[in-house]
Amino acid sequence: MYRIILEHILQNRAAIAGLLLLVAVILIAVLGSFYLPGDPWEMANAPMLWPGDDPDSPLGTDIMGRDIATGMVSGAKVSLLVGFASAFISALVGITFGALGGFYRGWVDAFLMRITELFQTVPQFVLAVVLVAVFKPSVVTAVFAIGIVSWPPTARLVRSAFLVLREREFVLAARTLGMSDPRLILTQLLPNALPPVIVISALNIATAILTEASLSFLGLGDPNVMSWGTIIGNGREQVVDAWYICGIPGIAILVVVLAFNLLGEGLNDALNPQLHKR
Amino acid sequence: MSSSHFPTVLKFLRRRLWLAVPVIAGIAILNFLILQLAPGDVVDVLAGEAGAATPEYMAQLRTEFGLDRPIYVQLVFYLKSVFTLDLGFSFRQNMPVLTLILDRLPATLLLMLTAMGIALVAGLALGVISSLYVHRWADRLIAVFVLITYALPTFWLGLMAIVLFSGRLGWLPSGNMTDISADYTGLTYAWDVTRHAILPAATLATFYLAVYAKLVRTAMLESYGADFIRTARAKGATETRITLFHALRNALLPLLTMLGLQVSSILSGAVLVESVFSWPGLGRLAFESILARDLNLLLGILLFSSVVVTLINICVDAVYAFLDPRIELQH
Amino acid sequence: MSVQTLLHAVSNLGAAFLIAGFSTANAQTVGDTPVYGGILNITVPTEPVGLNSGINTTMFIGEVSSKIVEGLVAFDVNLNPVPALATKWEVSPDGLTLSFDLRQGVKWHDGKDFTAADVEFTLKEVWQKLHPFGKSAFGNVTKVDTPNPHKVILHLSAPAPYILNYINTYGAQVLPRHIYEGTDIVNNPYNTKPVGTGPFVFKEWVKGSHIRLEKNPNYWQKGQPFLDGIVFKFIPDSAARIVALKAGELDVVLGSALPVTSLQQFEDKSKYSINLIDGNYLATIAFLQFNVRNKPLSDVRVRQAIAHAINKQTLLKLVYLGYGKVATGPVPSSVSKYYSADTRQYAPDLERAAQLLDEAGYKTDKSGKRFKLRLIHDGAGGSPQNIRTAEFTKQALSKIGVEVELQGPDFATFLRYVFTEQDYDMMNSSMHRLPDPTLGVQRIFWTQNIRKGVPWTNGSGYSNPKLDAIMEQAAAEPDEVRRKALIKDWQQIVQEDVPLLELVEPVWYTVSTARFKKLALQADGLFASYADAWLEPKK
Repeated sequence: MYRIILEHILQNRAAIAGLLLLVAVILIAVLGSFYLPGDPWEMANAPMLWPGDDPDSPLGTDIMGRDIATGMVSGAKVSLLVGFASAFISALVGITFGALGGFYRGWVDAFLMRITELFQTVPQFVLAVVLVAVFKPSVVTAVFAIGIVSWPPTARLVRSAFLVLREREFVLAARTLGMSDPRLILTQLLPNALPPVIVISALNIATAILTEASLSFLGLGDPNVMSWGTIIGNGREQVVDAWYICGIPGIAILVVVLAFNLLGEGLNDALNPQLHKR
Repeated sequence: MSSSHFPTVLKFLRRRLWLAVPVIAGIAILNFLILQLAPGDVVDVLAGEAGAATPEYMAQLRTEFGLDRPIYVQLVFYLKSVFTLDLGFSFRQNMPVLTLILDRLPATLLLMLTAMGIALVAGLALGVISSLYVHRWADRLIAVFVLITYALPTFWLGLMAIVLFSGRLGWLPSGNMTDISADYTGLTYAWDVTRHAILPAATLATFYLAVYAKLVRTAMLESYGADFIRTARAKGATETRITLFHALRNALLPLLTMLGLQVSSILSGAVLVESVFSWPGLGRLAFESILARDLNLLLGILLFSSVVVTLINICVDAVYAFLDPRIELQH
Repeated sequence: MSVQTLLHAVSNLGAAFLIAGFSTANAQTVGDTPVYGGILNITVPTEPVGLNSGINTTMFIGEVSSKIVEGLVAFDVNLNPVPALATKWEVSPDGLTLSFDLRQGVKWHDGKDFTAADVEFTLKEVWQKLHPFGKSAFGNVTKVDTPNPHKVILHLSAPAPYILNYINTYGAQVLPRHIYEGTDIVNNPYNTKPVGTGPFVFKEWVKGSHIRLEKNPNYWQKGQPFLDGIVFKFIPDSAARIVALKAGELDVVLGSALPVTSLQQFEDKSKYSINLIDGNYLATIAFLQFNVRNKPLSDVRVRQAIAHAINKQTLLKLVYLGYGKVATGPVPSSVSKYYSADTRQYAPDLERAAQLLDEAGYKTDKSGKRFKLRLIHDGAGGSPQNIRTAEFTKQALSKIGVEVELQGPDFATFLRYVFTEQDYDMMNSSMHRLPDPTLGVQRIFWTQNIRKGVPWTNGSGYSNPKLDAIMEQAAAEPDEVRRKALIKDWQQIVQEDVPLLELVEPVWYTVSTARFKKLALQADGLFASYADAWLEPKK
């Protein structure tokens, strides 16, 4: 089954474009730290150099003379890390809530769905801001805050998949064989419910990267870690004269988010071939 | 519509409102507890901003604000006042929370409705155009545009818009809602507000626009193959008529669902856009209240927004059922 | 790029003002041919929380309320008191009585007469009880006499020479007794719609947007104010303020509310004025505070090493773009009466720093590191200069093997960690030292002011009985010469012990359109009444 999916992905132009962009960003993060091993906080050059002013700082420097290219490499790592980690947390929580609700139904489901609804009703970004502000800004708090506010759609998706799957013959068969609930959930139901989770997780990564950038932009980033949002937030004061400081990282965010969106869309098409044919 | 439809609607509303109560209460409790975990309180902030204070004065303030009581007592008091629709008092702004919220609400509503309006109109137009020219260059161009707008960080787009339209070109004001010093009235006032609203509303609209355009395109394409369109065609309806009346109406349903889903993100979007454009709305108030540890105000805003979101979602469901009779309200 | 070119490039950025500008740029705001009419649009960095400076000394409150409510005196360019509500004042030779003649014919905005009873009430009920600094400023006042409606006599338990340095509208705002007496002063509704005696009358406050003031037609200074009104606009984003000033939506940007990086855009003197003395009264110093309770910072050699590792000159240029001076001690140079430059200084010297750390027993490990410290600052809500100073410090200390972890929580958490939990190693911020060291500086070093839970007290935990004695003596010394000598000793001791490292004296800048003029400049210009301000017509 997975080979067929892979084939579908490779035939999907959106997915390929997304993958290529993503590979490019990962390459920048990896090769970049090889070529620009410096500390992104080091005041290495004259402040406010425009891109091209000085070959030592090809993308220019910020108000403190810190090299933007080095900062971009650091930001790529942070964005990818925060994106994957918080999407993972979000998937974990979402799957747990959705699986338990969909499998057991009844009051368990009612209770879990109320909680899901609660998290869907609270303005997500505001809650993330509150969490980060309250628990001291750092990469770890950002990851948890983003994960915690973004799981409800996953939970709903898994729940509806489980509601259908639990009535299917192979599940009923396993049940009559006396399989325990946890095993039933983990070995029979979950693998069949995963494909849509993968799609939504790709989109969650995109959202998480945007959210992290927004948090850092508001000054709630990790003060020890240079992320793209931090660079934009730092350059905000000078944006009218030196727009490149904000402009460059913004374009990077755009590219990464675009990559994950394309990938998610491509995966969606690949995993739902019947939709593709239409 | 049968006459028995009305009680069904009422029953539905009652049921939904009852279900919403525990959710709202849960939100109040959750927010309260999260904020209690934070070190420091509004008295620290007040004393810190003043530059100096005496311990006696700080203790007096804490007693006055009820911050010296045990947390569970504070929670009980808070919930009690919430259920009597009293959102409390903002000690930092020296005003009742509800007054503060209602003061800022019109600005946010204006911004949001304008943004949603722009997004809906543009999204519908783009969606219809791409569905009409599916897989042709117009469709492709729109697809790329939609992809990019969907991936743009709104706060960044706002900054860049300021750089271009306010900084370089000087066409539009960079922030605030009106030119306060000018004292405009009537039409000139409306024009002034419009000028100020263009950049923030357009910035906010780009995000929603992408979603709408995509939805409309898909729904339109789906409906072209549907039975009722074929019937309309067979009856000799023109293509324009089919597009505008039949297919588009069908596309409205998913759009409505999406609107319902997005309502809860409104305040979130407002935080960023209002902060970039100095728009005197609820989002900025929320952010300021977080930084100033203005507990009552922040709780009030979150609660207020949750209630509004819940109510709008109930309305959306009701309208949805009304538009699409296949859906039963009890469901 | 070498350090040399780096410094050169930096100095090109903002240093145009540095040497020549400090004196000449200021005079530009002064004019002698007032023009009547017009509304002045001002912005302050943050929307104030109320408008009563008597109970809350937040700068932004004072910047607005000073146009509505007055003090007994104002300060001239050299920080000498000039008449406001008081026309004359006198200190007895023993320093134990202080008498004021009050201005006659002054009316509150609601038409009631201003009398000595108002001053007596405000002193007893507001300054002494509620004002954050008032408790120390007026602590020695035991009795107030009002022999007639225009005379106030303060009787002191011990001389309090600093009082005269503190009775402007920011330090001691005179409030109307008939509105506050018998009420809960802290929650009085008039705190947000003040009634004063000043040149402008409060009109409206639209939260999140603006405050509107109108001309007081019955102002005691005949012929003033020149302006028809003032609008304070609140623009939270500093980049937006730049655009607003350029577009003419703003006339005056008070209190360093523009990013320092943008000042070069306002150098054209035909269009803009930059005033660099408005905030001298506050005498602000940006500093790095050490928690001397904990190792390794309890060792004075470690603190001295850190002092040697930070190049204040570079900091001043990079972070403040030259808008300020390098701080040499706890009393800023603008407090010229008491300032002493003759104290121990720590020249940038990485070798000496390393040597001191070695002596203290903190040798480098294999990777060149000695120890790790946390540096906390007021993150999201703080000024960009604060954050950049923290970032600068982190880089500087990495050069002597000290690894720094930055922490940038919100304001409430920041205050809790530093002043309540005392769970921090280093903190950077800035504090107003005020025109008198007894009021503004003693609180930072005095053992009795180590007060758990109270912000901006002695948060380093530094305690030196010898210094305590000197500071207490200086507070009650009526003889100016002896007092100066005591304050000089005080500065020397602090510079030896460095419980906090004084970094930079940032200058407060007011940027305005060149059309904005005043009859005279004031060292407390941030809190000037603007009765003598006008807008020249557009050309």
